[in-house]
Amino acid sequence: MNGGPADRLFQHPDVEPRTRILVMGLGGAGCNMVANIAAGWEEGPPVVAVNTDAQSLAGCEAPRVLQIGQAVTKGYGANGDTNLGRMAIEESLEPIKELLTGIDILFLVVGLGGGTGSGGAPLILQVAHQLNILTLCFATKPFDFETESRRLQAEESLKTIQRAADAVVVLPNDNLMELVDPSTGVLETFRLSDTQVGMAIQGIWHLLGFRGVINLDMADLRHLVQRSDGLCHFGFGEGSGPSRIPAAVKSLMDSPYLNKGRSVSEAAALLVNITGGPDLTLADMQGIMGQIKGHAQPGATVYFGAMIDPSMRNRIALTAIVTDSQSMKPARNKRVTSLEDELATASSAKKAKPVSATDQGDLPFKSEDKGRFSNSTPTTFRGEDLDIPTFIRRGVKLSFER
Amino acid sequence: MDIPPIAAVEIGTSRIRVAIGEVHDDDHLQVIGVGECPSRGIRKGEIIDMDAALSCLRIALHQAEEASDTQIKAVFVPVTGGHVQSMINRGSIPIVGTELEIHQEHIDDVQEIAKAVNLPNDRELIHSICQYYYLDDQKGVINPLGMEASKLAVDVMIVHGHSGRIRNLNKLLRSLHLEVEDCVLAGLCSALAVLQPEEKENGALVIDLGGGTTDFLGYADSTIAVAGSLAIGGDHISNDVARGLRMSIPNAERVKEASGSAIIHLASRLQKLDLPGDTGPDGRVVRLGDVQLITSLRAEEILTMVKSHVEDEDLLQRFGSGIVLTGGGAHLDRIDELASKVFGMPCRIGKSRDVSGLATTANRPEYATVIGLLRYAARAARRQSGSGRWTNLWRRILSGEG
Repeated sequence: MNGGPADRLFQHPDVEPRTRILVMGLGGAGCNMVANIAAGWEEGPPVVAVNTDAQSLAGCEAPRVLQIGQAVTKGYGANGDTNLGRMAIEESLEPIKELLTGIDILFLVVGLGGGTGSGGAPLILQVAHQLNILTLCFATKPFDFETESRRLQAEESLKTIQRAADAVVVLPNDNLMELVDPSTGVLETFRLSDTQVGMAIQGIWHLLGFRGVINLDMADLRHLVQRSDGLCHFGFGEGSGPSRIPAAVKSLMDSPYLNKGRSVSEAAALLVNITGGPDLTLADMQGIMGQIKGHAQPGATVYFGAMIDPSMRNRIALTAIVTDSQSMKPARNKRVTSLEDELATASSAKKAKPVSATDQGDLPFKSEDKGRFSNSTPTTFRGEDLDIPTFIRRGVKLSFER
Repeated sequence: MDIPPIAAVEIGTSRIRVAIGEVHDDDHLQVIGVGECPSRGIRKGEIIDMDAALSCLRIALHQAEEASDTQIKAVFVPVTGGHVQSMINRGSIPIVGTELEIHQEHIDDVQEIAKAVNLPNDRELIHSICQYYYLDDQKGVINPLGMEASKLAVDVMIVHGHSGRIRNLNKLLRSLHLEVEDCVLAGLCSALAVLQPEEKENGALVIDLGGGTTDFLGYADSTIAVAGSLAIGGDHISNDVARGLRMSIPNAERVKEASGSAIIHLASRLQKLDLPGDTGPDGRVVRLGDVQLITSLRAEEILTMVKSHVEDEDLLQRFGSGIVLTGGGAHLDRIDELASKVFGMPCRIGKSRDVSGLATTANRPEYATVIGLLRYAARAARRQSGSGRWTNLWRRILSGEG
């Protein structure tokens, strides 16, 4: 593709990026997401998975992992306890600060409704803010069919995170159903959604980090999030074949997290990234920009970027981060004090209960699990048959079983 | 006066080991021959196939005899296994007379009373170990001689095992025309091998991580405060690996030795493993993280099990010198780090002290039991030649007194 339009659009970056971005997954769901995000990239910003649960990190495919809160959770998960999650971050503030040093933008990826992600995210965002890092948090919301307490906790956590982050992109799991046909497996669905989020992050990394035909800088991104109320929406669309442009735009407008296109038409600002193959032309890009601007309200600011992926020939993918203008974002100075108050109250509130390895409930075990000890006198302790592998009794999945 | 060569034979679950030593006047132990053979017919420290065990014993014995150019007639053996139990029995006597001073006769009397325990018919006494004296309401007296009280009491730890298992051990050795001089609690042997006198005084817990069993013995104030044997060990780690990665036990053992760890190396968790020949029919990728997940969970469980047995005695804070690990399991990567984490105190890998001769072999943690046994044997022989007082469990068993 030497000398073609592709080279002018996408220069393979051997240089240090102008803007340093870190993608951090926090908690079990966040770690799974960033693993999927990184798996979808040929190249992109550094990715780190941060969790309390050493066993889940052991199988995590993210390029880099950090275990936190070893003293607080003893290497297990936070069991949905946000207090434990917050205490784990408090314990491991130093390595987290180290990760954040020299970073300009943090993409924090969490699943709401758990312990580590929900409980720890506000503290990480606050630390990032003190280091003058622009923070965008991608937060998934639990399915409607999950427990009431989990959903309520997710709502509570979202409010705290919203105050601590420059912008939060909410990804309700329920909307995932619209993403795929009903026969698609749950893991595949998550993987698809994560890959799409990954493309948006990769697009921003490329736009901010390296020279493109259309430049975007940190000020633009700050402007985008400041015009939001702290909440953003995420959209993805794609098209292929001769009519790929209108198809991709329509697919973006229909994308599950954009509320049937309403989020676009009401947005104060949008950031759209176009990923095309080496055959992407300037005319294509102009066409896409025109159509998307047509959907947005007249005063809206629209930022565009574009990148080339050689595997995307004859195809186009669009990612959009769109501000939400439903409610007012609290003033920043107020936000910091209130967050600190909130964290202080949280720590003085009920002491987190210690995590026990045996909180896993009873599972039926088969005698073939005992292998060489099948015919031995069983070794038991407090009702547990110790001849059955520990990992089976704890319900821990190995990487190839997940 | 030099003592004639003494021999120790350990019928271990993974290895049968023989050590022959000479004790010189300065209590220095010189190992003059060792023999070792992988075990067959032993499970969880107990014999399940006499013939198989016998052929292994023959090989190990021959090696040691060749190396030392001696012929063994009598041996000391360690006793281990889930059947070994201990209990504390307290005996007391009134001190009568005009002066209440405690004389040696009082001490002998009260010991005798405390040691007089009626064990069930199928139980055999292995040791009775004096712990602490009580003078009226004063607890924890180590040497009451010459002190005054109106009542003297002593706690004695009664260690006992299943008669049948002990008899079978004896039978195995007798079929090679070896006389069993005495049998000694395996945990005591390991402690005798590796603990320095000041460690016994400060308090230390020795954990012998064997193949079929895990033996532990704790000293506090130079007194044996706790001892036990659990029927879980390195075999369980191998079995877990074999079950989890679906491979044969010998291959699982190789994988455990090459790649297992007590603490997961998160940085290299995604590294792919070159598996031994009999595996991978379904093209699975096995990762270092999977292996270490399995081994770390089991290792942590074994140590936690020991801790919970010790904690019953509320002793932990009295082990000022921390944990000392011996046995083949001490070779597991980062096991000392894990033990330090589980017990919250420093931990070291135990090397037999004051041994010469085949020191490089004898210093290995898996030799601690036989080396300690030689040390015990040397003391017993001195005592015997001195006072002529020699209680031999085996003679009692054979003469039907037991």
